[in-house]
Amino acid sequence: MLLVKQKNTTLRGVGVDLVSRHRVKQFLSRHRDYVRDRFLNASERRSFKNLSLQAFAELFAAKEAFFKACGESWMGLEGFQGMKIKRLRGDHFEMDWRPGHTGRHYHGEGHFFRSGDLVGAQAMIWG
Amino acid sequence: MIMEKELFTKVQQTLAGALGVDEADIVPEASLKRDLGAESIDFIDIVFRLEKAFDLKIPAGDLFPSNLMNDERFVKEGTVTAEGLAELRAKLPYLELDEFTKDPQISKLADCFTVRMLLRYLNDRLGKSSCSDQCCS
Repeated sequence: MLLVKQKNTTLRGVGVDLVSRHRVKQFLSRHRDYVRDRFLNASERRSFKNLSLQAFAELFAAKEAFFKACGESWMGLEGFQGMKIKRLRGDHFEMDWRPGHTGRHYHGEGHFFRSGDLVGAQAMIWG
Repeated sequence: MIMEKELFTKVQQTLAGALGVDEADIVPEASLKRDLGAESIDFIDIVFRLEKAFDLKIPAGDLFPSNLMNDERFVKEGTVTAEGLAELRAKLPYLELDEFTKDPQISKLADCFTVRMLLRYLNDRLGKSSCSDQCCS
């Protein structure tokens, strides 16, 4: 379900991403310490102890979807760390990103969805 | 010092584990994305696995481009500029860009991330200097 925006806003970008819970589980079980230290930002790191497989899969999908919505050329590990995802009520979330040294600033919103093994996120940037 | 065959075998094993592909499919010229099906989570997995397999730290931007590809001087309207190509060559000398330069769309850059690129990088980082044509050259 899309969030309802005010009139006179324009959809500037949309991005969708899907990730397999099974793949994320493999990844997390192998690299948990690396993920904590080099993938998550400070805020996410503080709550990582309680970050479930589902929550991490959603975080990953949200960042990928947001990246696609921004239309930037590259994300990399710095991008993953730099993006801030704030979970809102239900399956909604807010996003914020300032790609390093570009001076650009993106703010958007999105929602999560699930189907079987897949966790998905749709991100939108309004202007 | 790690031997050439040992290096290639370890890279094959690492990629096979990360991507779930047969080791036989992992040849130097294979593109991680186009030929071996790597997605974003796989690229991160590969970096972390290589670090463990070879006991080294791979800094962000050392093996794959970092923020430089978000720089407007280097990418304009989805195409890597001449300045961007020069920057890629300088910052990522392990990349094979000859084919890419013919149609330098940023969306195709990931096709240049090959097994050979990893071998070249590791060869350099591990201090080995005599890879053969079959391996890194």
